[in-house]
Amino acid sequence: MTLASGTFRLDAVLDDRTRLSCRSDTRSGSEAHPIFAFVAALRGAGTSIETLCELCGCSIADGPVLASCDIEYLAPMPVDETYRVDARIAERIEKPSRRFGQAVHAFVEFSIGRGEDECARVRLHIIMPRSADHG
Amino acid sequence: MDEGPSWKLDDVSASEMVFWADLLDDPNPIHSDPEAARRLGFGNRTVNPGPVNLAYVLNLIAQECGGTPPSRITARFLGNVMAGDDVTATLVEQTDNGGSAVLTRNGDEVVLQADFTMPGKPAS
Repeated sequence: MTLASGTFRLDAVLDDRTRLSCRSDTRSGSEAHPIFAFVAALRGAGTSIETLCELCGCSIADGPVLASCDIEYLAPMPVDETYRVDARIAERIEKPSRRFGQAVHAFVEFSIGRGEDECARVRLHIIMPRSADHG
Repeated sequence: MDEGPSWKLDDVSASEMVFWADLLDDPNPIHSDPEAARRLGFGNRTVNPGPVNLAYVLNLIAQECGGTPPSRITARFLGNVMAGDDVTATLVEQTDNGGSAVLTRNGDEVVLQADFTMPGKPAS
């Protein structure tokens, strides 16, 4: 399922604040902290994580958790640029979980681009508990 | 776990979890509300968003690789970091083209395992 596209504005001040928050070294040059591939994916997609849960038949209130991620860095991501974010749900599997009871495993793929360049590909595996309210 | 080079943070901040939840547009209550975290089975403290734990490992890679980010990183999120925890990212294996790292909380619990490749050095 293809999701709505969106954009993410990566300002220098946001990179500065984020680096401070995760106790990273200060930026040298123009390249943002590499975690911004992930941030751009979630924040820039036209579909929020809350809506993503709903599309998978679940609720953000049930506490989805991140199982794994795979990030490919294809081109630099400088600050003070706007990035295009495309996303799709590659696979959705519903199965029992020892921890959560019934759960949905969602595999979501994001592409982060700037101009003609694809800067990063992000693949996430998210486990979404499925409460009886959403059965 | 102190076999290799490491990066440490002594006290994971609950208020910074709120910053990250806002940054990620993630309203999951386990990041901001201790009662919600308890109700959903995570204990009595708020839960660090997973991407922050990955950011700690990326800090380690930058520290050990001259500030160069990887060309690829694959991470498995095996556990949770809670408010007030200390965390240590440790390089457990370094190869010609990348390596492996783990993030542990409070000394011994591995909460994240990552494999990474450095630019210009494709995986063999």
